[in-house]
Amino acid sequence: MKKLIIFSYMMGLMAFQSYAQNAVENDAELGSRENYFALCWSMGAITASDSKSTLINGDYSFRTNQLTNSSNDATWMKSPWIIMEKGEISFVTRLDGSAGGNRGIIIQYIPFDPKDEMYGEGKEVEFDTFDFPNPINKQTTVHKVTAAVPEELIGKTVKIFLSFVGTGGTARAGLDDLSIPGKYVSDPSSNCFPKVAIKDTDGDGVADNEDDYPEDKFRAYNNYLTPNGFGTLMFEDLWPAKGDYDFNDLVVDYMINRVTNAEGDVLEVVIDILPRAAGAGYSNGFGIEFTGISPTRIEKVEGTKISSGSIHEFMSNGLEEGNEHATIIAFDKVANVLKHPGGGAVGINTDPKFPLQSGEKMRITMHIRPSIITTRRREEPIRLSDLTMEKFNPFLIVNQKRSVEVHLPGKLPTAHADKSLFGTKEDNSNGDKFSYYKGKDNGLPWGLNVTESIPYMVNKVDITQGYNMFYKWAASGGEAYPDWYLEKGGYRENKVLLNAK
Amino acid sequence: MKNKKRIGFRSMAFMILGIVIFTSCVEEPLEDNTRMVGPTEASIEDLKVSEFFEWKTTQEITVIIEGLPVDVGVNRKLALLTTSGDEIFAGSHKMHEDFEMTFDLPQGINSLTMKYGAIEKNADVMGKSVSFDFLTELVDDIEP
Repeated sequence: MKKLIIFSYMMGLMAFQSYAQNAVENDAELGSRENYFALCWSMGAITASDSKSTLINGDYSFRTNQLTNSSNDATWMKSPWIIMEKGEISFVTRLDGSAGGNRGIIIQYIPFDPKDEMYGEGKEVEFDTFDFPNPINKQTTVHKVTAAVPEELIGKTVKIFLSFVGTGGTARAGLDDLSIPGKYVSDPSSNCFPKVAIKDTDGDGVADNEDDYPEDKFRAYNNYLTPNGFGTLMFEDLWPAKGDYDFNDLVVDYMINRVTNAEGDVLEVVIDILPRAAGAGYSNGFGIEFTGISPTRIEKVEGTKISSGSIHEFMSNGLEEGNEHATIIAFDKVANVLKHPGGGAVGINTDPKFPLQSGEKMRITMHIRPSIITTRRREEPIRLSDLTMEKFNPFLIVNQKRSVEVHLPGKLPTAHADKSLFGTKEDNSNGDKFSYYKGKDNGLPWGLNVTESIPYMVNKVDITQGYNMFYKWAASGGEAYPDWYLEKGGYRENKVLLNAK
Repeated sequence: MKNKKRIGFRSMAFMILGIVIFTSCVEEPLEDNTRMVGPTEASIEDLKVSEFFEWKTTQEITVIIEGLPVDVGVNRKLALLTTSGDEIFAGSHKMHEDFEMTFDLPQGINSLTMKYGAIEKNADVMGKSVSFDFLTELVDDIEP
């Protein structure tokens, strides 16, 4: 229906509001009062109707209730706010052939008055009238009505206010093809008040009060992948062998902000990482692949923590070399970001007997290169839909062996992974996309991603002992207790949980 | 007297048996069924899950917004929020254009809020989508 309306509009068969020609027009063809109200028209006791008794042109005309009231606020139509131009207000009207005494239309304007906080309306001023010729009975003649715009209105912001009045009988009126010379200036997003100039310090087209970066002409909006703060990633590192399911060999909190410009193109991805625990004897690393994003689209990466003599090789833009998709190595050794407590502790922040260490908060920024469009090459801008949770592929690198990666269940490995390890020991990875990094016999994972920051398990206690509903959630395929990780009554066993931050 | 006592005892035995049989046929709600694998009984060693289980703590929800039927020359910030006020989307949007985007949202979210200038609307998740428009509520003042 809408496409048809737009098509009709473009073909010139229907001219509703043609700002370029500086005439505000209304021919009722949107067919619903709701549409007109949303466009800042208002009306009382009038509807868009396809009733043949008052239809004038097209499929719809406006139709009044029975006109038996001489008050100007009984049956009426108000235009949106218009900056008036010289010319004539015109419309066509007819009655429906029913009995009636007198019928007429009062043509008025309403000046803008900022003191009226509800509608901005001043006191209406009548400047013309149309009276249907008597006798009203059986009258269905279509009349074209014109009214010159008063000189004093030209350049002023007003509403045109038509009141349908009458005495006696039951006749109704129809109205169509209303045209008002002037420019539409109502703002439907601001209670239909006249549009005002926005303060836009950086000139990016986004008002300062709606711009997350009001003094930056490139950046405009923050879009967080985890809207309610940090999420938690938890890994086991014995893959492809079975682990102890305490999911604390590496625990990191993460928050990803996809910063967009006014057009919605992603300019940079800001990744905040808080390393929380490493319950492993291994020296593990941590990386993130953004699946589907070509490494050539990245201008540079800043903020990673890489050791000298690292096992990784990097491109000039800071991404890891040799991957099909943009891959960041956040830290190559957990010791770079989380200090060991000493005193014989096996891991970091997983044994309550040892003091909790504060992890080093990291902010990694991945700057995206502007898209290139030439006659021979066209790169589409990177949009939010290219950087969803589905495309977020974090992984653990086991004990400085680059070829051994542990990903979240169902995620694919990077190009560096040793493919010969898949399907060995407890791993079920067999080429099917659902099979990667899931247990061969039980389907259990080696990594978990929770989109809220949650406590993690103390060493050697499996996750079902700390999160009472985890078992039920997993066993039910996610149907039961999808909120298993929340702090609800009976959901957690805090004595086996740790919460280093 | 002796026979009466015996009959009474037998009747009571049948009644108890009947109660046991009938109550054992009553299906327990899901909550009770899942109680058998509570924290003390459940062991990770016993846990087996479907190979198709995705282990996601998010749900995909598609937000659909129907734009106005006519270009009114308004292009400003569109914000989508959870009912707790967390912003899930921010971007410039032309009021006459339609909008559709899929989000990974925490499980349990069953309604969203749209903010566009002075317009603020809430809508429930129906299936896996939420729909908004910019229409305003009407007062019914039309005669039949």
